[in-house]
Amino acid sequence: MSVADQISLDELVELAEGMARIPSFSGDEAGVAEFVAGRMRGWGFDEVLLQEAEPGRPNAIGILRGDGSGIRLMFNGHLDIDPIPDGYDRPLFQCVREGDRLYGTGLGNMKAGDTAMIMAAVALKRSGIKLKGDLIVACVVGELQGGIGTAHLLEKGPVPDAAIVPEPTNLQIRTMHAGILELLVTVRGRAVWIGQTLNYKWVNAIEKAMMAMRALHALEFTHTPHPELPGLPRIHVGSIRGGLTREYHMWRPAFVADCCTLALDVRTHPNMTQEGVVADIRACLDRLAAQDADFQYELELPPKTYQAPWHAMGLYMPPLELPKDHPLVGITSRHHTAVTGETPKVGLHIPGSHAGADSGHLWDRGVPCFNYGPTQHSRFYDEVPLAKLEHGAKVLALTAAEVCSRSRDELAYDQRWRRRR
Amino acid sequence: MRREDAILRCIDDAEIVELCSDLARIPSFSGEEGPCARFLAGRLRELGFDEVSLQEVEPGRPNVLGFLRGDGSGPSFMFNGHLDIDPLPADYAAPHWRPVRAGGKLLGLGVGNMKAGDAAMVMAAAALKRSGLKLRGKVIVAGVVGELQGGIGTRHMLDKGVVPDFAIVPEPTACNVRTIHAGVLECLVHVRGKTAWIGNRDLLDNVHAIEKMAKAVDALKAVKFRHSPRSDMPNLPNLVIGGIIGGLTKEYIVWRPAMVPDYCTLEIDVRLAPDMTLESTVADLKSALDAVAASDGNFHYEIELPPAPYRKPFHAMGLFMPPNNLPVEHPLAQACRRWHRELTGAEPGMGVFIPGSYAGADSGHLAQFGTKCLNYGPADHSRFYNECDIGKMALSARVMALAAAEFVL
Repeated sequence: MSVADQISLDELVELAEGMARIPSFSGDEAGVAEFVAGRMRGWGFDEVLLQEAEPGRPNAIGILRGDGSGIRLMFNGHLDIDPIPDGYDRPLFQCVREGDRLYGTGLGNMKAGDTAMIMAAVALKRSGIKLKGDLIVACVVGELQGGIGTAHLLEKGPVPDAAIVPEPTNLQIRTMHAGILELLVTVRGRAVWIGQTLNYKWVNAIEKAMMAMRALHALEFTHTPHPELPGLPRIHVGSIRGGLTREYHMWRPAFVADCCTLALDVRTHPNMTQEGVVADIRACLDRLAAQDADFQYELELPPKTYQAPWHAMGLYMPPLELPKDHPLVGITSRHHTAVTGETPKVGLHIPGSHAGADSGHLWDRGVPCFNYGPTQHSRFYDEVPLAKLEHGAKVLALTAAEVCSRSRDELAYDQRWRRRR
Repeated sequence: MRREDAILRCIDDAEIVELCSDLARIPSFSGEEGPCARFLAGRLRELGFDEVSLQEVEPGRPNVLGFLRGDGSGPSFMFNGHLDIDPLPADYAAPHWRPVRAGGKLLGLGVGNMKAGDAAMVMAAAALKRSGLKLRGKVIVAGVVGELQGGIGTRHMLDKGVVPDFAIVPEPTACNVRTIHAGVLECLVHVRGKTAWIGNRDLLDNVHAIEKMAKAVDALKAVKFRHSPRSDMPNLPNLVIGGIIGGLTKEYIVWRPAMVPDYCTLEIDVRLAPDMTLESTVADLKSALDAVAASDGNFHYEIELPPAPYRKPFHAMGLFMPPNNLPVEHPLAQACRRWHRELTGAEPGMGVFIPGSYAGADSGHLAQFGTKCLNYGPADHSRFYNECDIGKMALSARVMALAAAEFVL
């Protein structure tokens, strides 16, 4: 019996529902981490650990042990989910099956992917196949905050030889994606009471921040365009706070605002560096300062902590550019074709390739990896087609069965496993 | 002894400075006036007021009302001063909550707006009590909360029926007789966008709410308010952008900048010339923003007016503050003028006082309830509102006591 036959749609739906029921916005992942850890223990994973990336924020890591002679593969999926935009009208934290789709908060990014990878490992366990290399299922926290869970995991281990991150790709094999830099631009002004605006020098930080936003939105980055990622780089202001002092007091608007902060999101392509992006942003703002002596700014880059109210990314997320002829791509591609009857698209996936992902951290650390997940980008990231969920789980199970049965020696003699750009 | 001498000998300058220092040691930002109010109530009792009550405006935020009874045959006279103080700008470096005397001034947080005036008015009323003169009308000292939030304390007091015939509100006027001041409208302008993930910006319909707000900022800076310009109040009308918050949803989620922001709110403060009304002001704001909407089909705005009091995170004014416009010929204004001249040998400024007339004050609320009132207080406008000339504190207490005596004795 093939490992793929161990995958049951009912079990997939049951696990997806269990995960979707537990709110897990970035910072509040503990509940769902403990839930999946408990499940993995119940399924008899050889080792299950809760690895705290920050106090109260554990990565849930389940390991199926090999005999140590084979390639160690990681499935890596994040537990934190996107905030819920206005206009979302489905029930929160419940799953609803409609036709051939399952809807539930956070399923799209990426609890359906998490479900597929966990059940793939369960299938491998049940199949009784003897593994050479470990299969590591890493359910991580804080991906939306720059991937702090995966960064912590790569620091503390276990570090695998290869990885698959089932982010939303609609079961395409995404070998390249953007890098992400989030940073804060704080514009300083000079507070004066409204009745004194003719008598004292004042500078309205909010008006200056609007000027900065317009300049940044028109910014032309210096870069060599990436032929396969034409929509990048891109930049926008994602949020703003302004008022009195860096506390952004808003209870006394009679004073000209003296502090305004813009939170920026920048998407880079693999030909760009963090340093180059920052230099361009500084040059843009320095040009404004040269034209306007009252324009004063500071960059916070990246915001190291998620101090209130920002909670923004605390890390730069590097881009991913795995060579498309990597052996892991070939293995997954073959199994995908066998399971679905279709050849998967390999390489770019739009708009998914405009995302960052933990695959960027893995790749930056020398771990060959790609994204292959059952959902796709939608406005609310709350849905998965049931067929894709099942196919994804099967392909991941088959891939793991094959990869973890391969000898580590292969890494040594087939340089393609380690090939970097 | 002349009755004014009987009053004046009951005023001790050191006592005024001491009371002001005591008040300035107690933090009392808007919303946190409780400890300061309870302290003042205790002091009024010690000073022998006939009745002292704490009138709760909101939980933990009481007005302090101290009464000197009259025999009922004369008009009532109120001294009204707020206990809440301005927030600290980013560059305030002096010590907090430790008032000090320096160069003839008392320096301390909140002294300028308006704990110096509060101390002077309390000691003015106490002098009327100590003088032993028989009061026909009653004297009321009102230490109120939330003036910086639109005068919610005074408005509450008026709504509860404590409405005096006359009042002096010793806001900072540097001992000038201010009978005219601006109205104040604080409101929120909301702009709604449509979110999409940054990676989907080219593929999904989206509207960047903060970009749209930049257009609103441009329009608001150029808004033309209908009014008759006054050469003595050149800075009216005036509009200041005081705060902004924008991100995802009406909850202003700011921690996910990867999404196109779909909601942004601007907080503005408008100062009305005396001939402007709330209605004309709002109509002018709307027509400026409607012009933006007419040229941009994706510009959707809403004015929240006045902002629901202290809805987080705004805590802005929950009330429109009407202007005050007492004729300078009014006997109250003339009484202040005469005693100021008698005690100093100089004429006080009358009517408009710059920049003070650009402020709103509880005098606007009192005026709307029919109280004849004006502002005459010891401090001057400074950037941090943390100082007052000690001589002016003493002078203002005397002028207030003597002016009130003309009505209540």
